[in-house]
Amino acid sequence: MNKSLTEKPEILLETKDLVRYFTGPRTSLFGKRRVAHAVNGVSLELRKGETLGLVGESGCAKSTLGLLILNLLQPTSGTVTFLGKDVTNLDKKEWRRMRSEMQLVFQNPLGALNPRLTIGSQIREPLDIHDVGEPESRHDKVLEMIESVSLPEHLLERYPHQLSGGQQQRVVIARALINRPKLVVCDESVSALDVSVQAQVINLLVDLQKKLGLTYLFITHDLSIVRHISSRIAVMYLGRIVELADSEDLLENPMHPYTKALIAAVPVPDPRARKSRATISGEPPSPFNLPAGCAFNARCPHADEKCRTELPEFRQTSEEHMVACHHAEKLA
Amino acid sequence: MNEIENIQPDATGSAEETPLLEVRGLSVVFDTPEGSVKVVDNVDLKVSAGRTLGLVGESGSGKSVTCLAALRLLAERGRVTSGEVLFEGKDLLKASEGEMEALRGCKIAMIFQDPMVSLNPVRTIGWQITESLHLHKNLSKSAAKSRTLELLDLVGIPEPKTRYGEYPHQFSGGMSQRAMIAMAIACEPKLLIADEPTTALDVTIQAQILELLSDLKKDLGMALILITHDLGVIAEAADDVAVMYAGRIVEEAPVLDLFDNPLHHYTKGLLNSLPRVDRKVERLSAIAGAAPPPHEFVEGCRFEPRCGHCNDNCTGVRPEFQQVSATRRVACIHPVTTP
Amino acid sequence: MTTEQTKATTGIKRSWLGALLHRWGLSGEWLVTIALIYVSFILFVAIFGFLFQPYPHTQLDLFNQLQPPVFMEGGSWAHILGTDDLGRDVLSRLIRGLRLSVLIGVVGTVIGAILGSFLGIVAAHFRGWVEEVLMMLVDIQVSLPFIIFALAILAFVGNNLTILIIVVGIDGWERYARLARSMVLSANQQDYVLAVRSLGLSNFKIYKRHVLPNILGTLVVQATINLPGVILLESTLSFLGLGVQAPMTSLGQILGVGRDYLILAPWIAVFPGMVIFFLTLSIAVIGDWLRDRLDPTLK
Repeated sequence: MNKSLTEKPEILLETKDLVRYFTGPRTSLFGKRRVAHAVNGVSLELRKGETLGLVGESGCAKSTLGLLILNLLQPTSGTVTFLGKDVTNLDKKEWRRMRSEMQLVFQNPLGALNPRLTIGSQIREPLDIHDVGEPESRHDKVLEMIESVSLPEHLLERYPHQLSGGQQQRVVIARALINRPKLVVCDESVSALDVSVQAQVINLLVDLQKKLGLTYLFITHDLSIVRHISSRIAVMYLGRIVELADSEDLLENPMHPYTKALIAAVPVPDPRARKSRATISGEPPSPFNLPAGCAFNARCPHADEKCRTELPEFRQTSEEHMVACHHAEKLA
Repeated sequence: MNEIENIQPDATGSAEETPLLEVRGLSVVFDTPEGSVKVVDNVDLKVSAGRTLGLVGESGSGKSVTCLAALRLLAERGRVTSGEVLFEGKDLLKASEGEMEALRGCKIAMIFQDPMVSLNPVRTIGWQITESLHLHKNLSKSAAKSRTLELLDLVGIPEPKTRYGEYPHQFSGGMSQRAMIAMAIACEPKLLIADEPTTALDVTIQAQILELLSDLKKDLGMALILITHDLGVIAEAADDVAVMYAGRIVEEAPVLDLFDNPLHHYTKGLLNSLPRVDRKVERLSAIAGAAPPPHEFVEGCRFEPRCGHCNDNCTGVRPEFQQVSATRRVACIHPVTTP
Repeated sequence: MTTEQTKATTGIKRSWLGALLHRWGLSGEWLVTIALIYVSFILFVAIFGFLFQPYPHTQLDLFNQLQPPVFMEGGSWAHILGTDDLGRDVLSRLIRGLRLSVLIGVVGTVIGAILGSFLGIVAAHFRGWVEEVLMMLVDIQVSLPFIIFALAILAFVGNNLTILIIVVGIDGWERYARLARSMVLSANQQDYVLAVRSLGLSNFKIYKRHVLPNILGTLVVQATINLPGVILLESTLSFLGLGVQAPMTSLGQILGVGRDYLILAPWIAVFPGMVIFFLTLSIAVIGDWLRDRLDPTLK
């Protein structure tokens, strides 16, 4: 992971101050509509060839961020830049052309496949949509793809419900990659799979990345997986990135109290490493009611007056390590 | 900030004491349109008072069905075709429905995976907890209410008086699970069965719930059966572990022994395939293939297609248990030999 | 699972007919089987019955007015089901009327289904004020006593078969609209629609290839459930004299004629009445069975 200081990484995708609000129903007949501040100003860059892990718990809006990046959801404000081009406000037709450059792999593979179409026709569909090559050659591409994901050819005539969970997820991956996208967003892509199958699919994703030169945004709540697969990790809390660093650096030297608590809370498969106290209490506040100041202040054992009133800036604390905490250096 | 106190699990095995719950030779069959399927095949389990048995397995392994069958909660889905379930010496499978109703919620309680769907959405939390108290302890209304408030406090729900009158949808995931636990321990059961209690929760909430269960276990002297697929949770919370695969128990051991030295190739393969948060793993060594679905169960070793350490003797005949020590046994003809 | 395995586990030997029924999921469902047989018979009569019609349905036989059916006293084999007040053979009129009733019922249902489903899909796709307006129309339709509305239109328009079919068909459009709307809304939430959208598929193609096939089954079932109602509505209107009118004949029309002779010559009303009753009952039974079969939660 050693990059020379003079080499600037090539940036594939960049977001600036992405914000997304959702309006909820009215609480009373003439009352105001409640607003959920889902994503609150996220600025990220995705470098070519890397895997950026995005971790957070439920309510942090990491999946929403994934959808915003892929323009499957419109941001309330902020910009998304892909290969230098501002794509936030492209019209529908231009976006459709861009679609094959970035793809999404979902959590629930059975839901991501049309139950009434065969596997073969679903893997082939992206080729038909974008009119890639001659129709006759498309079947060959499908065969090539299904081999890359280690699935036997005879499954092409089957229907989704006839496949196991691991096989279904491989089909979803094959469909997403057949048009050679540059960016793949994996949203909890292995979380719904059995534990013994997760490792297979993780290895597959890693191999395909090397083979096809892909860039991954790996969204998950599972810190163990993200340590294994990512080169950099971003930690999200209530719609904001609170820490961003190289994987090893983040996990060995976490600076944000939330990151520390998250790491400590993960049960490790080693009975000698038992911990005695759950490290943070309480639950995250509701996105309808964001606190002023740092969103984590209510649960943070180190919060002071400044934390309660002033929003911490997302700043650099060392090369490749950024934190949004007033007291990060003191607590390190 | 991280006070990591090393709490060593209780290494003294449970072999000597009479178990609180003992399951012997339990088999459960589901009747499907395609025929009858044996989803639980001759399972033995033992839990002793005050100890936690971790029942680990993946989807389709039959771990939940085993415990539901033990409490006779299967209803039309399946039927028990053989075995005994001895609770405090008495066979639950032969007990009358009235005796079972008195037992459930009172001496043996169960909590489930998704608290959001396991709670009645049209009744307040307070009502649901007091219902359990009325049923088993015959308390007066005011006595039940004060006991309920006590319980809500015990499980760590802040502002119990307000929460008493709220509905499940007003609770978050972690809070609902605490409410379910409150309901389950209302009558101070001797045994609590927790079926994937933290799977649907965030990891920080999971840590809180596991700690709550551990505290309650100590305070109430309960035994706990913890059903999960997460080996991390097992390592964190269990004293003894039983590993289930495709409807059968394949390995039983105290928790330290299991993780230090797994004997069944499935257990070993599983442990080796886990990504770790505490260290960097270069490449995961995955187990090839997938667990067979129930209607494809064979009579011989069911892990054989994925094993890599088998020979012809492994197919055809069900692998017998080898008693490796007083507290360990493994169902494998060639268990892992220590390298 | 091979057939050998099936036989091994269930141990049931079947005849070829039984095997066929089992494959269609009908084993043990004797009611549905009977209903299917009856409906097939009716369809056959509707299409080919005219070949077996003993007399032209308009042929008068004034010497044999109000003749009872053959199994009653005074009947003869010349008119198996008797004659009406103008000496017309009841069996022939029944066969002829059946055809028109079935035609109106089926065409009307199809019109209503297509219209209702289309509006439901439109509402679900555009959301916003389009959805609000369409759902308001649905609510109006639900609260309207449709029969009065139908009577008014038909009285105004007079004897027009096309208008009759349309009026009869659109009764119930709101059921398709609601159903289609809720199914499209939930289909749009499905990951596979999102996936295919992220692949760049245009909206129209998404509906055609992914959403429609998945909701079609339920809409077809709704149509079979609605069909009896449409037939009954036509019968009622014709009975009241506003639907199918002479010289055309439908089951309801015959029933209407028979109304005046219920004591004197009950067979004129009873036979069409029984046909309507069993037809609508059979279609309802089949519709229920289809719905249960198509229910994915039971798979």
